Amino acid sequence: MPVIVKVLGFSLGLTLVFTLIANLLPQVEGEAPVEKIIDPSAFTEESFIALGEELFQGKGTCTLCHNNMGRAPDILALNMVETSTERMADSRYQGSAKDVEAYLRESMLQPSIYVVQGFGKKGSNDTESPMPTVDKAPIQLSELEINAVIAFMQAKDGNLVTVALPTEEATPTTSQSEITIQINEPAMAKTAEAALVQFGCTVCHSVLETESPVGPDLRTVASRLSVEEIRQSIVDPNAVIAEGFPPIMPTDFAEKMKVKELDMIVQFLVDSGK
Amino acid sequence: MHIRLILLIILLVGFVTPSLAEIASNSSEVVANTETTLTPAPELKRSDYPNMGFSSRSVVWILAQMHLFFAAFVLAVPIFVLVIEFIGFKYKDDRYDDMAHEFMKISITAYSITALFGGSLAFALFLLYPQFMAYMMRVFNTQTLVYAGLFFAESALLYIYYYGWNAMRYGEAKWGHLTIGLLLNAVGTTLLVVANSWATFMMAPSGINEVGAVTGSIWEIMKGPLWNPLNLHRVLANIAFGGAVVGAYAAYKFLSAKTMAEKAHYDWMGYTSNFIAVLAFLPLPFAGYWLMAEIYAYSQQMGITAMGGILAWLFVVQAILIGTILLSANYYLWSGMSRCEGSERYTWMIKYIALVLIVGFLIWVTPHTLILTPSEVATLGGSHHHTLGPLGIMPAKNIAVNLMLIATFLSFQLYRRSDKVITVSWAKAGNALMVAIYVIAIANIIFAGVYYGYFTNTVYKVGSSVMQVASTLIVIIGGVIIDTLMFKNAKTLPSTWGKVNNFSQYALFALPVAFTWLMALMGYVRSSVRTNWHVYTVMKDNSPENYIPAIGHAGNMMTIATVLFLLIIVFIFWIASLSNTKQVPEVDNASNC
Amino acid sequence: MKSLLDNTVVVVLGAFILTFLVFYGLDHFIMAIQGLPLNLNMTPAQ
Repeated sequence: MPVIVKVLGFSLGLTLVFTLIANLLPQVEGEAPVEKIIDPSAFTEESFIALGEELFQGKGTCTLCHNNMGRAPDILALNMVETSTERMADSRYQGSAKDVEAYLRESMLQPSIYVVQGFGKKGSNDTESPMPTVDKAPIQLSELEINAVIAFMQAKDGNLVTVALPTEEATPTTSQSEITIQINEPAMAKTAEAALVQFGCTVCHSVLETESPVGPDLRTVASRLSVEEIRQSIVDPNAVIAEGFPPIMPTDFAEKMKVKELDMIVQFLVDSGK
Repeated sequence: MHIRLILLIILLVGFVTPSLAEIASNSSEVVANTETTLTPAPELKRSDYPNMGFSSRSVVWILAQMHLFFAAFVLAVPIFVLVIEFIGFKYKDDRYDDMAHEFMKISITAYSITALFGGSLAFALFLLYPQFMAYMMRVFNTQTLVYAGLFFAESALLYIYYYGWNAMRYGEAKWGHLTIGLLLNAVGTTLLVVANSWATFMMAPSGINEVGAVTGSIWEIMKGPLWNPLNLHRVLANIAFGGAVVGAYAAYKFLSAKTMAEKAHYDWMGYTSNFIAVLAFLPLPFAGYWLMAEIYAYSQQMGITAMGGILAWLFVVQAILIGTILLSANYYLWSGMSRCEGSERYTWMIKYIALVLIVGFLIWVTPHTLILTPSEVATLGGSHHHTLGPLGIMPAKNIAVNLMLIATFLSFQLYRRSDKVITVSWAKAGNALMVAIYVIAIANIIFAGVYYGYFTNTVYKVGSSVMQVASTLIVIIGGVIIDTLMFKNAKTLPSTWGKVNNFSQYALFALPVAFTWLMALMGYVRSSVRTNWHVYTVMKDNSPENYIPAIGHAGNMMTIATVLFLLIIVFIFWIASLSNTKQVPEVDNASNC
Repeated sequence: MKSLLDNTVVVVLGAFILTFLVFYGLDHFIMAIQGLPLNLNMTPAQ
């Protein structure tokens, strides 16, 4: 056999071995982020938290570092509300957050303002964080998306979600946003009064024109409960049962109510209690 | 007369190149100052991309890779040709000069093919990604003209260097010739670093603001965090690659040689090529490590995407390729020991070296995480084998690679000692020191890897890798120094060039095949770490092919490029032989009547 | 002295001790310049 044939045959054969190896390995394509249309005002609390979880695993690329391999705090394994409280109490903490939500937001927008012990860039003595700024390229989460992630981090351990759920007015569209205001939405209560009726509040509570002894009087609820407590009473009725009343309030308003509807109801109750 | 001409050329090049650079930087500064509005990078929609009916990415991929293969080759060859020519000049040994000349002959044909692919690549880029190219032209401005201008200098110097070889053969003219060679390499290296700046700008842009508007000078744009690491990596890798390719030439000529003299000549050429390839290859892992470290420092995300995320398997493939390279190179050295009877003192060590190489290779190849996408990592919490998992992380791999490099150097050292009997009086102390260096370095590498790698925190783990690198370098540098001193007045044992089995030559084919495919693989990494960005964080890629392709598809593309390269190289070797062939005219019998 | 140096054991031991000390010092130096000091027993000092 001529030398050239043997040589080429050997070379091609070796090349094919490498090709074969490449094709036998697990094949994964790196998906580029796809544009998603989301209606900010159509969120329920549950779907908002779900969006946060989806972003945490996907577009936010959080799990690249925040996992159990030690590169960054293992967010999924930690109770983030407890952890945030601990961090803010740390003597090294120099940020300006006063509550859990603010701390989590600050961690995403200004990661280097406080670096957890042991996680700083090499040689920076834990003063510089290797974490990228979440609202800048290449991650570029919008304000709504960041809020969703915060909501997820609060909710996943059963803690109270304090993040303001999005409304149509409150959503800015950033230049690289993959969220746009969409057009169609299912019929929603237009006013607080309509929502109160639609969800059957008047059946058990004294509100609007009706009176009912089953549940606490909602006309004066604002003098007894804060805004947050009112909200919690609707989405998680069994968290705090008013003394002397039975624990029979429906627990599925968080899924059934649109965020906007919830907002309207809460606002109405706050205003009418004054 | 020749000297005056050469001095004139030197002065011309010496003045022109910096002047061009000065013009470039001045003009871009002028442009930046008079611009009152900062123009951001374009934001493209899918429909903005030209649709030619074929995969734009595939076309650019192949053309770019072909261009890089040949460019690497033609930039590398003059580097080691100059060194070999100088050795021949210094030791008055014609064999070196002739070999250097022969290497250049191969390179000349490759030069025009490099230009062909470069032109095609430029056309493809402007045609298929016009807005991206418009942006890059806006950013790099006059520097692109400097790049084009340098080719005039490169061509002039190349042709004078090659065609003037015999005309400037001795004495002062030879000094002139060597100077031309030096200038050729200076211009070539400049071309490399200029082109590197485009690639590194795409990965880690500098000199621009958040939306891609030019805010800095051309130097700030060029001198990003990845520029110099890539420069070092590519210079070394090019030399290794070039050495491997000419080694294939030598091996091919060896196998087709008709006379013993020819066999001896090409055997020697093959050995020299392998020497160059492996010598340049040894520091490459460290240059690669520096590049990776800078990537991590620039963007942890990019770093993790490369090595801990979706591209992680790729580095296992890289380990397989480097294992092939090291095993081939070592095997070639062990086979070569048959040229000299004095090697029999050392052949017992070969099986242990082979063991270290194979075990090291297996450790290097062991993956850690089997899950790649961020969502899968989260779901499974990072799944890896309980026993073999620890072998999958960097400390184990650092131990493995450093020991493999030391083992390879040992093969070299044994080969070099094979044909000598050391006569210096302090031989015992020298050998004791050499053995001590090997033993302690190996122990240090294992200790650093195991202790800091598994029992301390991340920063110490990463820092300890520098300790390991230093240990390997001490073995290599210490070995070279000690041997050089110990070889003074050594007795040389007889060794026969050409007395090596045919099978060993195939190691010299395995080397360039593995190098070529490895280069293509690294190109796939470089492009993929940018994920869906043309210019990372600044210009998003919204083309239909803005996703990272799976490794199987990438492997197929890389194979196409590699096979194409091999075929063209065969063509180039054939041309080199053809230029030596003289057809004998037919004797006209009719005229004898 | 000369007879001492002729002794293979002395030479080998000496070479190992010298090399060990060089590597020991080098390890400390390399870790120190990276801002990662070591204790005398090679454990991290931070």
